[in-house]
Parts: sequence; structure tokens; C-alpha cells
Amino acid sequence: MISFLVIFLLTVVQLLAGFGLLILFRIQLKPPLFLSLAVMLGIAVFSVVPFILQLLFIPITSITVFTSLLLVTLALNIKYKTGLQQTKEMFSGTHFRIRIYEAPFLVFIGIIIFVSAWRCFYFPPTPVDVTTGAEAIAEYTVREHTMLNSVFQLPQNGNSLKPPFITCLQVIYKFAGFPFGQIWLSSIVICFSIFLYHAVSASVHRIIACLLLIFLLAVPEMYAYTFMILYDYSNAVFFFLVVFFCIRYFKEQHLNELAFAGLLMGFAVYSRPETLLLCCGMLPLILVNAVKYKVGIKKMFAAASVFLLPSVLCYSVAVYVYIHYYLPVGYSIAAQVNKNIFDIKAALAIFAEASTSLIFSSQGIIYYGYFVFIFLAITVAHLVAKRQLNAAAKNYLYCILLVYLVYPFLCHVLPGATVDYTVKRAFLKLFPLMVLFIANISLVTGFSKWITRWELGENNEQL
Amino acid sequence: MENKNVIAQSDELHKPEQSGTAVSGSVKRQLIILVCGTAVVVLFFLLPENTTWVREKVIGYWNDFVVQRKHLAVEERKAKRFTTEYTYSKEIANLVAAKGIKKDVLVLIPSAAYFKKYGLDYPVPEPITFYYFTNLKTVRTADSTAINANWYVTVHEKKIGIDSVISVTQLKDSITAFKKYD
Repeated sequence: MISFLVIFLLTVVQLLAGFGLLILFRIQLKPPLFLSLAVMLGIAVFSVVPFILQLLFIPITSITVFTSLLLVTLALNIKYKTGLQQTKEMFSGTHFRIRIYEAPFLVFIGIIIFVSAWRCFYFPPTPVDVTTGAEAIAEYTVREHTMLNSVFQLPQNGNSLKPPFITCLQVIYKFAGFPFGQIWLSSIVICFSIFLYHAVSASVHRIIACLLLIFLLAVPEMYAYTFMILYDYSNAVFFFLVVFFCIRYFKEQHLNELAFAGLLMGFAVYSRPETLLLCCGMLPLILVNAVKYKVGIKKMFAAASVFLLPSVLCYSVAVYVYIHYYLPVGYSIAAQVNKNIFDIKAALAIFAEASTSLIFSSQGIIYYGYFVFIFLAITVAHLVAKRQLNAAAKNYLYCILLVYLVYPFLCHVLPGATVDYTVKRAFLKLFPLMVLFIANISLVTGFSKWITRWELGENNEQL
Repeated sequence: MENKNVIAQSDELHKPEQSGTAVSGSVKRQLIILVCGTAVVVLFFLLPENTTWVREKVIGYWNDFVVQRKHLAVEERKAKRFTTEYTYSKEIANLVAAKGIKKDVLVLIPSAAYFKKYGLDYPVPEPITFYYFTNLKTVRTADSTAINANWYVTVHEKKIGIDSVISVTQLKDSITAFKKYD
């Protein structure tokens, strides 16, 4: 019982921290999107706080950690009056209503997520990547009050040389009384599912949103990472949010939303540093958008800067400064680079391997189920029927292709990254983007409109 | 523009309900949508890999939950998850603790193949994982620090034992002997 209370309190503080940040960035969303995003954002903020204590060489104890978390939450809510006003406006006229056809699917989705959350709570973290890295460091951080602890006296395999995103969250939850930590991952999974469901429902009928969410949850590899703490699920969530807010910016041209996307990209880079490549890959999209709207060189530069700066800052501090100037074990990325980087044949072989072994094979179905084929079937059907894509769909497709191309390329540049591990897990980023792509193409939105009108009992002849 | 229409209609669906025949008509249509949606989900989970997934992950994990909620002891959960990797590691740590030595212990551990040869299924964890499990520092034969070990693990009649290192020569001989199983 006390565990539930602690989870509740932590979630409330995370909600408040995220809320403050959303108010500072003047982000306006419908309540379910806003609240779920606030919790995810709060978790991201939490993941930075113990790291800052470490950078300042402040002992990491339960008192310093929880005091800092509260202070950061208070500081982020400096505009609480505006926040309260915005909350009132946000909730006014909001109708919470579940339709008959939604309820059974939401219960089913709830069961799928519940068993994942239980497993996350019940079992200790198992992947070798964390038991020889983040989890071991977190365990000894709690005992020795520093992240630069006795774990580094043992033979290393490289897993301890990653930015402390997981370590920090594990430390917080261990201090909160959860010996295995991990609960934060379930919070991200729950909030992300709520966010995605409502984001999809904004453009298509709720029955389609339910089906898409079930198809997504049933991606075996993606589901496995809802209860195994590794960097990939959280990273996929942050990257999805980046794309979501970039596309809002492309539609509405509100620079604050692009700046917010930049902040989210910073968190994505903090959780997995190689996401910086995706950040660079997103720049052409921002520049093309700037040209389309004829915003001028100055604004174009400002847009690119607000998007890029948080990621560069996160990478510099969490990777360069922390690894080189804090960790007692040396690591050189330059030493990992492929000596035959211009061997195009080898690069193409990796691209082919990523497609054949991870997607178009029986093994691919074991990893990702039939999701990619559903996506391809709908896309082909749309292109045959409509022969065009709207701007949002084009942007989502660009981001899907970006992920699809960047990671095999990364394997070529850094042979330490492999198709079987790195790319397989990096491809988790594809699926939520595919969901929003499907929800934004006119074939699906048209069908959705047809269902909506039929449900409302409107004259079929009008369709 | 097209999307805005859909959003507007999606919102329309979530306004308070009308009354009378409109309600019953609406409920009937909602039930038809539910049946169609259910049919799609059933078809989806009839695909071979999805059937396996729902049986193993959703139903299987639910069944696990029913049992697990009555077994909440932390050690039990660790042993269940890590199996012999954890239990044998704890056994080695307990042997060291029983010797009453607490400071500067570094235990040389042979590979999994060695344990298998002597009848034990022990997937030997990496030193960091071993340390995470037990708070005991270990080293493998391939590690450069193997020569600093002051204890080493052996197996006799399927039982794990530990011996102290008496001399560097003896340790080198042990490392050479263990390396045959790497």
C-alpha cells in the first residue's frame, strides 16, 4: 500500500515539474495530451537532477536528491499563476466520455499494460547492458553516494560509459524504496499510450485509434522493452514527441513549439547520444519548412538554433565532459570509427542486412510482428487510391525514412554497433511514427470521417 | 483543412448525448462499430505470431501475476529472475563471508565451461554483475587483473568451494588450468 502512495507522490511531483516546463514553453494541448506529456517530461527532468548533483560533486543521498527534485519542481513552476489560469481554460468545456465501442478495447489495452507494469515492478532489471552498467552503478551510488563508485574498479565492458539517464532514475526510485527501481518505465509506457491514443484520436475515429494502439502494443520487441529497462523505449518516446511537436510547428509556425521539440530532442540525446544524428537529420526538414514559409535567413537560423542547441549541449555535457573529465575509465569514440568508412559495398551490405534480417524475414516477424506489413499495405493502398500525401504525412514519412537509414549507416561508421542489437532496438522508433503517419493519410482520415458520419446518423448520400 | 473537419467530428462524438430515439439509434450504431472492431482484433490475433504473443505475453504474464503477487520477497524474485547465475554467485559470496574475511577480497572465477564440465549449470556473470549481486569483487582468467586474485573457486563432486591463493606460482598454475575451459 505504501508503495502505491510513494508512486503516486512521485508521479504528482513529476506531473508538476512537467507542468511547469510546459507552461514556460507556452504549450497548449487538450487535457489528456497535456497531463500525460507533463508526467513524461517530469520523468525526463528527474533524470537530469542527480546527474547535476554528480557534476557538482554534491553527495547523492536521499536528502540531497529529493530536496533538489522539489527545488527544481518549484523553480520550474515560477509562472504558476499563468499555469493555473491555463489549466482552468484547458479543462473548461472538456467532456470526458467513453463510447460503448471504446470500453472493451481500453480494458484490453489496460490489461496488456498492467501485466507489463507488474513485471516491471516485480522482477529486477535483467539485461546485461544494465546489470553491467546503469543498474550496478545506481545500486552502488545509493550505497556510496557517488556515481563514480567502486563499480569502476572492476573490468569494464563499455556499458558503464553511457550517459546516466537510467542510472539517475534508478537512484531516485531506489531511494524511494523500490529495490529494483524501474517503475519510471511503466509511468512512461502508460503516459505514452495515453498521449498516443489521444494524438491519434485527434485525426481519426476512436475505433481506429484503439485498433492502432493495440497493433502497436502487440509489436513483440517493442512490448518487451516496456518492462526491460534499457534506453531504447524512452528514447523512442522522446523522439516521437520531437517529431510530433516539429510537425505542429510546421503547421502553426509557433517558434515556442520548435524550441520545445528541441528540448525534447535534448532529452532524447541524453538517453541515447547517437540520437544526435537524427537531430541533424531533422534539420533539412526545418530548413525546407523555413523556405516554404519564406521566413528569411535570420528566422531560419533562429529556428535551426533553438532546435539544435539543447541536443548539442546535452551531448557535450553528458558524453564529452562526463566521460572524459569525470569517469575514471577512458573512452574514445574516434578509436571506434571504421577504418574503411568509404567502403560503399560494405555499407550497402549492412543496409540490406537490416532490411532482410530485421523486417523481411521470419525472424523479422518474431521481432516486430506484422506491424511493418500493415503500414506498407496501408501506404501502398493510399498511394494507389489517392496518389498524393498531405504535408503532415510527408513529414512523418521523412522521419520514418530517416530512422530507417541512419542506424544501418551508424553500424557502418561504428562497427561496435550491430544490426542484431543496435539497429533492432533503434527501429522501435519507427512504430509510433508509423501510427501517426497512418492516422494522417487521407485514405484513413476519409474512412474515419465516413464512420463518424454514419455513427452520427447523417445521410449517407452526403458522403 | 480535411484534418480539422475530422477533429471537429471527433469532438462532436464526445459531446453530451442526445435523447430518445437518437440515443437508441446511436447505441445500435456504436454496438455495430464494436462488433466490427472486435472482428478486426480477432483476425489480427489469429495471425500465427500474434496468437503466440497473446498466449505467452498477455495470458501467460497474467497467470504469472496471479502467482507472483503472493511471493513478494526480494531475494525470491531475484533468484527466480536470474536463476543459477544469481544463486551460485550468492553461494560463492556466502563461502567467502563464512571465512570471515571482509577486506580486499578478489576472487578468481573460472568460466561457465569449467562448471559445466564438473556438472554445474552456472552461467558465470561478468565481474560487475557479480559485484551487483553479491558485493564481492571477482575476476576472470582473461582479465589483466587476474593475477591480483587472492581467492579462487573450484568444484569438487558438484559442490562449489573456495581456496585461498598461497603463492603467485600456484595462482598462475590455476589460471593456466582454468584457461583450458575459456
